[in-house]
Amino acid sequence: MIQTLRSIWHRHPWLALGFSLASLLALVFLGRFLWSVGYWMAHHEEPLRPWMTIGYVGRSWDVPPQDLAAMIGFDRPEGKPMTLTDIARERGIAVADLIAEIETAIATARAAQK
Amino acid sequence: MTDWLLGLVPQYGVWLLMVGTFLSCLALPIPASVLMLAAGGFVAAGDLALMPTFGGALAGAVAGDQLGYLGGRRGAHLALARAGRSNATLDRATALLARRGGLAVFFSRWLVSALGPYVNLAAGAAGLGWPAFTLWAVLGEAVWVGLYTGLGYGFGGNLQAASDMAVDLLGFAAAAAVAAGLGWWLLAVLRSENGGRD
Repeated sequence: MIQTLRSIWHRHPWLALGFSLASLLALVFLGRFLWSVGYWMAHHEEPLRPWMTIGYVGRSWDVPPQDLAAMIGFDRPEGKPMTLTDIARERGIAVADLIAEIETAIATARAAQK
Repeated sequence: MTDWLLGLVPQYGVWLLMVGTFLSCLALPIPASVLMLAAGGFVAAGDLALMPTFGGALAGAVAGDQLGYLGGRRGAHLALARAGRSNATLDRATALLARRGGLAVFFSRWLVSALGPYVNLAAGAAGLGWPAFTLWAVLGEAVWVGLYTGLGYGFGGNLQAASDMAVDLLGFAAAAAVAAGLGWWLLAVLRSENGGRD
């Protein structure tokens, strides 16, 4: 087996090298992909941004969106997704303040889950 | 800029994606992949509906491809009329693309998507048949849209992670394709050597 591989390597060095490098690269990418899947499972919380919706935040932080909406006293309108920017504008407050309020709500909801 | 664009996704999801993929298939610098990842996340969050989102992104991409292909066809007529159709190398490249262009069209939709717009022009110019071009382009775009919205759906809630995963997955697909091609070549060479000895 080793003998055969060595003889192939001697007779077709470039082809064998190309094949080995491409295979190695494929394995590296596969490893990185699997690693990031694992990482995502452990911590997928994404820092709150103005473009997110309550649903998006809820999914990212593992808090049911309806609970989150209720905690900040927000009535989710049917069929009209609102971003945090929209909600803050409707309330006449800064997005940063709304984000702080939601972060507190997430912490409370998570503490209650435990 | 990206934040502003992402904020439009939940509200104008379908139309925004359609315009975004359309423009990106014309080589305009639109972050279509990020838009699709985000849209997948909003679908998972229940803010957007799955089928219209997928359909909108696909429709925009397919329309963009068609425009590029038609442009290539028109442009080739003009250019060839001026050059007087005598360039042998050009003729050979054209003939090759016309015969084997389907796979180039398919893989340039998603695996090396930066090439997509140029392959559209080239395919039109080389006279790749319209049904074949359309078939491979639609299949390829479906993979592209499905890959990005799917990753966004599955790993939504973390755009950065989903986007890193897309890069790794595409890198894997490209390297594996090259490895498979070289492996096949190596096998063919070895087999012909053995055949010669028997």
